[in-house]
Amino acid sequence: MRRKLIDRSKCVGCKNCELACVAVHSGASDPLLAYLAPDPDGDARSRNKVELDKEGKLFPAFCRHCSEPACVETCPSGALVKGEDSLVVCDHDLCIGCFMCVMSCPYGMARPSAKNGGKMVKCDGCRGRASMACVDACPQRCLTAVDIPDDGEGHAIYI
Amino acid sequence: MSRCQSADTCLAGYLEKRSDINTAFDRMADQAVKCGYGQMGVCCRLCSNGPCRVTPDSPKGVCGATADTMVARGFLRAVAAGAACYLHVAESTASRLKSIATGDSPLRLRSEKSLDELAAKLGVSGGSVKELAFGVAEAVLNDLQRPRSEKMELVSKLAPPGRVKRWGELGILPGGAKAEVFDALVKTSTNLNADPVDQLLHCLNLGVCTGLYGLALTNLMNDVIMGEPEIVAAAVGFSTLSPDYVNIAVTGHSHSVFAGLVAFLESEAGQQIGRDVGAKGVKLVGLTCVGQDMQLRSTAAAGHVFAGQAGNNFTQEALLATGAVDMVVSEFNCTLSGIEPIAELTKTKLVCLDDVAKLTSAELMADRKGDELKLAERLCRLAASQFPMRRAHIPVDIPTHGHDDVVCGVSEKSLAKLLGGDFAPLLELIKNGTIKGVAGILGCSNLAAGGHDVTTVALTKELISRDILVLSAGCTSGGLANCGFCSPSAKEWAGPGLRAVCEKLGIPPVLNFGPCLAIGRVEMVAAELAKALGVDIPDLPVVISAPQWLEEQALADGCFGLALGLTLHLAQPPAILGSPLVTKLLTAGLEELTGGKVIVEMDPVAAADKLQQVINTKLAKLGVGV
Amino acid sequence: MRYVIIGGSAAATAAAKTIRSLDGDGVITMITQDHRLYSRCQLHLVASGASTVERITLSTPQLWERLRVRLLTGVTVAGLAPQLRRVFLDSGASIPYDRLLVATGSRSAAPPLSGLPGPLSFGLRDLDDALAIRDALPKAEHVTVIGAGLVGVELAAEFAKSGKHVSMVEFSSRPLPLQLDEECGGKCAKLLAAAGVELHFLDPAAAVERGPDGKPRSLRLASGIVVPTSLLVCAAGVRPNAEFAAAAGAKVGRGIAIDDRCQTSLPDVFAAGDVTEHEDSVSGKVQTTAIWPTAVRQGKIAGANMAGGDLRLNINTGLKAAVKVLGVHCVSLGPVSSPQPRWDKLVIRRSDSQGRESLKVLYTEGGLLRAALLWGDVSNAGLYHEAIVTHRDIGPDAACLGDLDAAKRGGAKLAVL
Repeated sequence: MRRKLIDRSKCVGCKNCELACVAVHSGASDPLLAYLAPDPDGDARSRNKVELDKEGKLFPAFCRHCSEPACVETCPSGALVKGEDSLVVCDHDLCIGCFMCVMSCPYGMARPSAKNGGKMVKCDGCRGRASMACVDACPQRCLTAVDIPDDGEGHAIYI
Repeated sequence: MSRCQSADTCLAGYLEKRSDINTAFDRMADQAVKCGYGQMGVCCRLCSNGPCRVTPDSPKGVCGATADTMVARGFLRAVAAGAACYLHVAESTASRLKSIATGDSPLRLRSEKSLDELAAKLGVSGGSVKELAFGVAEAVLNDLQRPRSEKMELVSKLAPPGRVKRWGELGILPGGAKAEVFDALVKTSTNLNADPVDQLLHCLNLGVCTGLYGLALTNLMNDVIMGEPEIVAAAVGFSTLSPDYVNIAVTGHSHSVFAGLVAFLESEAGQQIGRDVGAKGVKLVGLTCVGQDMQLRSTAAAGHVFAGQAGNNFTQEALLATGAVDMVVSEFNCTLSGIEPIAELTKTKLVCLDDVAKLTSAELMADRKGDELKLAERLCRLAASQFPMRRAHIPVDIPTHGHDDVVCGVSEKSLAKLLGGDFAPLLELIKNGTIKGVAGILGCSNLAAGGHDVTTVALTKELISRDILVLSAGCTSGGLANCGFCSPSAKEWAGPGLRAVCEKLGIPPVLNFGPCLAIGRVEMVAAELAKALGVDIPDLPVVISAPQWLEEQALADGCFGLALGLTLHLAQPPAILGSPLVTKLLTAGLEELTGGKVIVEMDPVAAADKLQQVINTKLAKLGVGV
Repeated sequence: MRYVIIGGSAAATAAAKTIRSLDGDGVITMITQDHRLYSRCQLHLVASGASTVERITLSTPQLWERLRVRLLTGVTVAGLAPQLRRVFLDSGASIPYDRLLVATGSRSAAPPLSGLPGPLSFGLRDLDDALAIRDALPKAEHVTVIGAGLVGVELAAEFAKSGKHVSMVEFSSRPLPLQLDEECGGKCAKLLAAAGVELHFLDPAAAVERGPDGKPRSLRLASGIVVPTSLLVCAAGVRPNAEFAAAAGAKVGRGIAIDDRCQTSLPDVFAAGDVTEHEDSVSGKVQTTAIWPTAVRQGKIAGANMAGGDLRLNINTGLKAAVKVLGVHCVSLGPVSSPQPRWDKLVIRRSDSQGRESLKVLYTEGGLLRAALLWGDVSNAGLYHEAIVTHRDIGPDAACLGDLDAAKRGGAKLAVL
């Protein structure tokens, strides 16, 4: 199963992962034009975020696709589903933008779309894509894709 | 963090209250995560094979540039831009002096005494005032516009001989200043100069251009045009703003660009324009360095038309938000883009006099030599026309902020005068240990390094508590003045020796030299002290710090300080840490070359320790017991 | 093993799924008045015509086939005989159980007004209500909503968006009185008023005045104000459907009392969802909870324990809400409208670089976050929620609460099942 390992000690805060995420979720076919592409729903918002902890150290925050996802449990519309590939993905056609998931994710990774009154956005594990955009983009090898079985620890693991 | 802190607690409280505006203090939090490559200076965007970053897997750029090359190149380009800024101001001031001399400009010169002194210094002779003024202006402009192959002639007139000799030995005596900037741009373009040491030496060369022309000469020419600084007590802070007046806030660095406006507002006609719209008159409100310069000369020029220095660069958004500013006139930096949405909210007109300072929504009313008074009248009328509508519809909310007993107007001339004619008394105090050294707290204000003016204030407090006299020039002055350090009561924060001096002379422990141009004046004081002691500048018990340096101009200033052989402290490093070579050169290797070096230290107490250590070493060498 | 579930919504379905995942052989029977599983949180969208029954339906026939659940729809339970371990239906039939789950939810509590019940006045608790409102809407000139709680506010906003003349009546001083404080309540009221909703606060409904044809003409308020009304929706609270459980001898307060394992006082009888009451881990008081996520959670735990497991509720709270008022996001966590006097209050206001205002009100006690109200910018709401419900110590420096730091959550594992 395709999973992601994250080594926060390697992060330099270049935010390539955020840019790559915006690019693949934008309407542009050319990643370089992603920022200019129309984004009426505010969906082209990065699903991950590089943050700072209390000591000011870099923390690249990613959705873990938890084995017991709080977002799925609280979703009243059935939009959030944990799939066979262990990924927790939101179907935007079903999402009603109630944000119970935003309220419930203990990692803050269920996020409101950039547009006021819009739907939620979250990491979709690049389901359907040959590789994960953030992993490809990281110049520091902070993120690596691995193929290991589902052990109930979620799709993305901090090492 | 939700909003950046400020050492100015009053300002911080006002920003807290005004959550309806978005300022640099808010955006600091949004930009908290910095790219490491940018911070270390190892991201190069010069060519289409890039952008390249030095990473463990890719230690060189596509062209073969190492981290050392990338860092040095980036640093030189920044210093070149900073030097260019100051030289723009110098050139503009000299041009104005020339047009006053020829009569093209209707303005008059306010200090013939200063002109005589300056002409003598520069070796310019002439029969009449106009001839002298013309000669001085020409000498400056000629130098600035020389080709690179011709060394500038005024350098040896302005800098101490020991320094000129050393610079000659190092090969950093500058040719025409503009050509030096020009070629620095060329050097740092793609696949040209890749020698980090050559580039750093060029930085020092640009430092000399900056310090002598951009700073020293501009100050001295300003003295001629706008009058000499005199020590006086003045009011600072937002409280200097009164809604009863038509208020024109100014940003920039060139007081001489405002000479016409100042003169016009001093006239009855100017003030009557304000009265005609129901105000008590028209006032200029100071922001950034040009405001500091107006404050510096507030007895000679702009006396009653200058309301006061409201704050330094990062206070301008809050100042506009008060609603009491009718118009902002800019000719240089710092003119924050952030004021545009606030100006829209408060219906404050934005005008710029030089397109180098043009914001998107600002109207360009270009300053032309000869038209100064006509422009001044247009500006005055424009501002006044805003007054009735604005007072009727825009709420005014001015916090109680500032002090009214700030000692300002300190220069190398006025300080000597205060001390009795020269600096001998100061040297005596240093020799007998009452004053334990001199520190220049110079330069900008930024929002990093702990917050707005936080490190500046903390370091200053530390130094004066150790009886080290502090001379301040730049936005540091604005911040320190707003926090009370330039008021007589600040002596309570000084150590016993310094406090006694403050009481005896009636001065605060932090001497306010005013604008960042006046960094040149602080350095002139250093040169005077060196002369009196019979030593070269590196031997002085004097250190400088730019604790919250912000921009490229600060780096150019810094290079002058290093060329002079002074120890320069910075809280935050420039983008150099990605290169061990450049870092080592600036923090250690340079000492052998010019006597100067950089100390990087974020913690104010540790910084004070290190600076005091340097001072003590110099004192010991001078034979002064510590 | 025979499992019987009374109910067909969030808690019931979660329980059914959980039981089946643990017990492949047991017989599961589900008895519900509903005809389909649907998202009750979206009824206001069906009522206003903004959404359809199909779009809010959460189940498919395949779901019940796959779960091998014997589903009896449109059936009402008449009574329960715990000593016989039987459930009696209103048709007269009875169904035996080894383990029973009561997940009958709650119903709209109609306020005791004269003129109620009657035509063109509805609650909004199930699909029938929503469809009836939707059908009556086109001809209704004036719609009045009683109750400015979560259901009332979203419903009134929907009606206003569709261009109807809407009035909203609330006995408290502001909308969403349990979720918002005075300031945000004021902001919410302003948004509703700007959208055209006529608001009446501190003025409870007194009587529904009807014409000779029985249709509503107006709603008279306590102050005497008469609000023209052609369609009335009561969204003034819910009452747990716990009567038959009480009659059977179960301990029932306002709702069916359950312990930490979701078990009632009757042997082998569990309860979950809106029908229950339990200690709220945030307020410390025993109360009902009427929100979807808590119902799901209780359903899962009840189901697991019915199938032989031993899971505990631990965290159980209804004091949380995510609301969208005419495009403005808001999350309310903990007792924001009734904070303890000893708590410290921190208010953080800012405008972002797009000029949007946001407000955060945080109540802390030492290093613990007790309640939080996020208005405008609800990013990271989950972090605040996590800190409140797990009583996580996030340190004494209140200034850091503005943006809960990543380090605290870097290694966090949520205490869910």
